[in-house]
Amino acid sequence: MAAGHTFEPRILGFLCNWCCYAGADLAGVSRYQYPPNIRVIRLMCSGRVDPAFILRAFLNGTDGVFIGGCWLGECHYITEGNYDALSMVYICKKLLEHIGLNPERLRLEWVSAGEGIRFANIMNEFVPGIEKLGPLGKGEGLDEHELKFKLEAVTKLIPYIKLVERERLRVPVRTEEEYHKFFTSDEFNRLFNELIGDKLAVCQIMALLRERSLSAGEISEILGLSPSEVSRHLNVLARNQNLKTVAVDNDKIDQIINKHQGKAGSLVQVLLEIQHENHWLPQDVLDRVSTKLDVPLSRIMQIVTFHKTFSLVPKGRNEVHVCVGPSCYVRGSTRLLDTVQDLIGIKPGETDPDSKFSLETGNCLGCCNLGPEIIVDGKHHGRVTPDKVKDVLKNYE
Amino acid sequence: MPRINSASELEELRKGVLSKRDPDKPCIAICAGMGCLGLSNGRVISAFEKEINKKDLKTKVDIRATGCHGYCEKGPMVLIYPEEICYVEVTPKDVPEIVSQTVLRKKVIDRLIYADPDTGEKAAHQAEIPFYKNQMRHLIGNNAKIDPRSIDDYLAVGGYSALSKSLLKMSPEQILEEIKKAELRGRGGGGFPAGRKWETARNAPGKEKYVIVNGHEGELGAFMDRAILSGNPHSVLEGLIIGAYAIGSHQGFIYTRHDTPQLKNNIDMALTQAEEYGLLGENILGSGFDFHVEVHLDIGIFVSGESSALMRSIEGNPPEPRPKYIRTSVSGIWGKPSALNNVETWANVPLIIDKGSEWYTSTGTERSKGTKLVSLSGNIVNTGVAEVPFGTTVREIVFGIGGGIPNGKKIKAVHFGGPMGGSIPESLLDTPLDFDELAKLGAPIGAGSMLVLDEDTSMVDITRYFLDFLSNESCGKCVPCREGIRQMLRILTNIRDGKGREGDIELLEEISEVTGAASLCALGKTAADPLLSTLRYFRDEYEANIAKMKRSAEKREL
Repeated sequence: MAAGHTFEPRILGFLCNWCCYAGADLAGVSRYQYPPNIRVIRLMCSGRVDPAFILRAFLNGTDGVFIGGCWLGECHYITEGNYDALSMVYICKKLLEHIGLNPERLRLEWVSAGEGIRFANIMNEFVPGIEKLGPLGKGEGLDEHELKFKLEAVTKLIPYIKLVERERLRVPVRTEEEYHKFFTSDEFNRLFNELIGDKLAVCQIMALLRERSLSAGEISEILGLSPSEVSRHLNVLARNQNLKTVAVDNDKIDQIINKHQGKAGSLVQVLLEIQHENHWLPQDVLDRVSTKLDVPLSRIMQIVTFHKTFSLVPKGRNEVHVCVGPSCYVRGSTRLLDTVQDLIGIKPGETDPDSKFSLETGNCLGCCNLGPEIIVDGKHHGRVTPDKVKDVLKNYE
Repeated sequence: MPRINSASELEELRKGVLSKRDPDKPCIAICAGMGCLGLSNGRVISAFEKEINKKDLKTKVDIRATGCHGYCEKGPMVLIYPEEICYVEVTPKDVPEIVSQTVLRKKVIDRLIYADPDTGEKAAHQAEIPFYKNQMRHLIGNNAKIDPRSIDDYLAVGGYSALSKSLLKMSPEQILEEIKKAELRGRGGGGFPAGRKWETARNAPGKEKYVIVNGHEGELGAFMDRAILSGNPHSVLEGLIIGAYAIGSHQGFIYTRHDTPQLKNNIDMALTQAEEYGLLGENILGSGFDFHVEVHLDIGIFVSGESSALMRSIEGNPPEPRPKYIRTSVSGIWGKPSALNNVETWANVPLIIDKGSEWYTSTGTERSKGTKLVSLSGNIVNTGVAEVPFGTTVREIVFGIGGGIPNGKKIKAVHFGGPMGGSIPESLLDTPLDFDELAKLGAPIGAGSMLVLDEDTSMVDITRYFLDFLSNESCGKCVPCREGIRQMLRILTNIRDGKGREGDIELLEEISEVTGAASLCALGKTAADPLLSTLRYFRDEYEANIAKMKRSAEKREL
């Protein structure tokens, strides 16, 4: 054997006390041969395995995790913990896939106390499989830092994931077919992306920004997300007041506030003017408005999150509005909007990573003779057919 | 600027303005309205200025950038006075020719005048163009004659004479009586008698009262208020001051759109000029009446055009409507009586005072008097703002003024009142334009936007479009509106995408009934109106969409 160079996978096994552990015991007593890579942790039930255990195992350099439980319907507890283990594993596999790890590194099997030979067979199959996949992370082409970063981001989300599982991802009927049907359905994919995928991306963005400040473009590159997605997530972060933003010229803001000071009902006008001047409303500006006008921040947030006129994240250098009024609609604004989206790669409400364009859909501006029209930085471009959009947009830098 | 302290001083000033003007001096009036903006009329205006400078004609020719002329489809429009020659679709390249041929030599350039697309018949003067010929332009007619940024222009066409008449010769009660006799109805959509509203505000307890111009114009496809407010702001201001005097208010608000800078600029300019002349502020025209006006901008929320939401917005709160068990004319801004009217309603007031209620009631139908501005959009040849007397049939407007449907298509329906309005089918086009007649057909006139739909339009799709808009604009404060609209939208989307099921139509009707009955404000109450009106006239389209689904499902089963 060439010293130190063959890859010996480290595998952690969580085995249920009543079935799989006894099965493994039987395999040993019966002298069945299987690779010795597995380290076993005995649990009272496979349902005890928390997603955190699995992630912690991976974080500590384990290359594969095996979970063994009683056959479905044969759980020794009336809570039928092995069904919980089943759904947990489906979700965890999806999570691993989502962060770029091979889901095959996690395996769940049912082994009864009498199936020693089955346990040995599974090990004979699982260990070489992991060996083929290579060391964790390296096999998938992730570097150590990235791997750790991603696993930590998921670990942080576990309490949330458990909540989502209980509220939205629980299968009402306890049969294997039903579980399989649900967890391989499009519905599950949709829910996962909506509820967990987006949160995970936000979690990763937050972790990145905690290390150092980054532009939207850099975030999109590091995380491999589309610009449109990054922009959407940044919007959410800003709305939840989680985003620290670059300070702006306070004098200008003070000027605007002072101009209106003392006048009742000036809040909306102040915010409008700042938005107009600065193109977006940074958090510290809102704080300043709140103190200066003596209005609670909650009320300011109520106003600025109500409508898309206000932006809590920096806007692009050019603001593109596609009119979706009824007249433009019957004259084909839907196709126009699709073309614009394809051209600049973002959806309405988002900003591209180079901060070149922000896209919005605008309500009727009363230039119905121009429909369908787009408005760039307040300049109207009328009667724009999809093939003309490119010519309009290429003039903006 | 001299301050005017009496009626005679105002007349003298007017005479002074008029004497300086030679009626035979050529004047080039270029439309600088919203519709022409996107057709680069700015370049046309600067080309004219350059050309006049180059030829050293500055003293001999006037240039005037005016408000919207109404005929947006053919913009940029240029009118040459005194002959009133009208050129359409003018480009900067045509400018030197216009100056040398028409302005100096009085020759009409054939290629620039209007030609009827069907008959090829040409019309050199504005009054001969079919779009204008069939209108009665009391409110918008002055737009071409004045520069909205010049109060002198407004005085020259007789502006502020109604104000001096009401402040110095009439008592507030007389004005109220006159407005009531004129049967002026609110043009914003409700059609509520303005006189009665004013009277309520006047009689409501409390010293402080407010008057408000609702220039929000959130109704999709409506752009006539903008045309008036940015093209002739003084007419609205004059009406507002008269109304304030009648009600006993000393503070007014103009609430308008933030996304149209032209509006705010022109209004601000008008306010400053009126104040300099003493037509606004303390002791107006020496009558002892004080009145101040503030401009407020919206934040682009549809519902902020609703009266109670608008008032909350002026107070600095988020524009959320409140239930109106007590009218805003009794308890409005800061709980004070507030009379709110639409731009067009206010613009009617000086006319009524000036010419009398008898003159005013001579046009219109039995219960809708005067003229109405409508904005034509959608699948129509002539997009633009038109002013017609009440009682004109919808067909006359669409075909006589609007020029019919482009590309030889047939008309399917006319949709009134934007996302909370209703449609009437082709068979009912002979209905006269009238608040009550149209409301009876389930298509209330709203603020006056007319969206014309051709035969290719799917009524299911357009209804879904309106609900989609409303679901985004619902403030979410009350559940019936928020959830009702959302669920109706889901069902409609299914029907449109061919996933409709039997019973969907009945379900839609049921939800719309609950949403309408239980919502807090007009947005929810009338959200289902387009749906109900299309169900009334185009039920077969819904059924056909659902039946298509059923057939394909049966096929699959086989």
